[in-house]
Amino acid sequence: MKVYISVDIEGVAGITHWDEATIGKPGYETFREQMTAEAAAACEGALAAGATDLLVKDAHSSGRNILPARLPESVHLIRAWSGDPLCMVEELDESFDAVAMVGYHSGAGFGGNPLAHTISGKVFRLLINGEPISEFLLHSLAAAELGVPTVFLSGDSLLCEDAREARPGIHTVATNTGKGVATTSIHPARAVASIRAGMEAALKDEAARTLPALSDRYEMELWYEKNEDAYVAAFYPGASLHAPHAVRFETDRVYEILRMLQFVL
Amino acid sequence: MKVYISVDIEGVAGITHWDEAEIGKPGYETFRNQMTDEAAAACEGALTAGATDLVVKDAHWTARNLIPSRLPEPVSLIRGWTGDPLYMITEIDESFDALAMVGYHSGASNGGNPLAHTAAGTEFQILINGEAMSEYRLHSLAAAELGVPTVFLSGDTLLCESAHAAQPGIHTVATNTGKGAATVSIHPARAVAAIRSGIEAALKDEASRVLPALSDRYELELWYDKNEDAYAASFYPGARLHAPHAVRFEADRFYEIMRMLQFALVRL
Repeated sequence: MKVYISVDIEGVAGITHWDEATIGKPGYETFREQMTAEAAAACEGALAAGATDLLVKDAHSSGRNILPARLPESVHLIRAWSGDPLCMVEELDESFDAVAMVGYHSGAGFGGNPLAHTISGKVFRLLINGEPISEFLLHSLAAAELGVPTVFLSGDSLLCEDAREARPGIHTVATNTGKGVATTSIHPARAVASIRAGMEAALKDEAARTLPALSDRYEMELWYEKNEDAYVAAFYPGASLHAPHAVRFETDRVYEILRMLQFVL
Repeated sequence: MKVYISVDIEGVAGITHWDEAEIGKPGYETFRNQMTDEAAAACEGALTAGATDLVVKDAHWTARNLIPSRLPEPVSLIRGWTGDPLYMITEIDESFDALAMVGYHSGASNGGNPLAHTAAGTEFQILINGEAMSEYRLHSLAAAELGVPTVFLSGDTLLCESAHAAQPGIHTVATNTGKGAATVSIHPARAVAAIRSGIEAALKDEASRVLPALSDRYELELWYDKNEDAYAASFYPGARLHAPHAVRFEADRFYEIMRMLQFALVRL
């Protein structure tokens, strides 16, 4: 069984401020360790469920946060970014049986997390077919297009609720509840234990493997903070300026959406 | 008569070092003044030849180098970058009669100027149908696709010679000859006078209006300094990784080549 584990930081237990997610800033080392502990727990859960191939993506900012030596030895780890449009699930392909996402967070415009955003601070709203989209939704659609289900998710409670609504079979672990700039979180050790158990349960549960419904047409709308960023992005092949701050792009594949984002964010 | 004047700095009279091209660095103010003088001279020459509409593009780096108040009053000036794929000739269209380029420089790998480069770092190379591009050549082809001839060019000697080979009717003023890290230049005032009379003569000369030959297929090859930049650029729609440091892209319209460059250069 091949399992892909994509790990972000803004949804690990207790994280609350951008400093804690920024390399070199005070508080970062604490949460990079928590990110590592949660990633390792997900790997252990996957191995306990019978995973034979484990690929972990360090999917936050520099892509160089996880402490590699603390992961189980059988893991392959992807650090930094190649430019592959699959972005946070870089190098995922049809041969994988499942994707898991750890430390994920609510998207731009959702609330639910003081660190809510979608990929880049340049855009305050990213809509697909009229729905605001989180990194979880975007990458789980991209994975679904390759036939790979997202079976497990950990992160803030709003994201977990949204995920269970969009994907009734998914297993989730809610680490934090965001209230304005504050969070209420479970204990870091409890988050780690829940992720280990949750991941194992998800991989043993056939019902978690249901793929989300795909569309045959995607209309994306990107709302930029700065009108000049929208103006430039509108020159991407097939894109158009929809409003001074907004660019539209239509396609029939999620992969093309991710390809476009690679060049315009 | 509508004339577009695109102005760069690395080919103005006397410029020799990157500091002199970089805002805030020692020597910059001298050459930003020279860039402004050469741009103003080109405008004056165009007005004398009968230009009624003049658009000037500040086409170097920040695109905030020219001192606006020193240009003739009828001029419209474009500062900054919109992201328009036409880049150094942003907003040019079929309604223009002629394009002039001032302060231009030899391209990456061509030598001829201590500041030789094409669009990005000095190692970055743009080949089109096997030919190493200078910024002059690139934009003169983009303008030609819109039916606009490049009638005048000033910049380093090697660039001027290569322009004559590509476009026999073009009028040029050679300001500097590059020798390794050094330049031999004409006097700044002489460059200004030569540019003024050169553009006037070019606009009055029907023979200068011949368009360079266009192709019906363009194969673009981008050679990056860093293999990781090539890898990322290779995901642009229609592009592919040709070698660890090189990306290939094909198009039948030159504009699509310019559009691709707009996105493939963003990361550099």
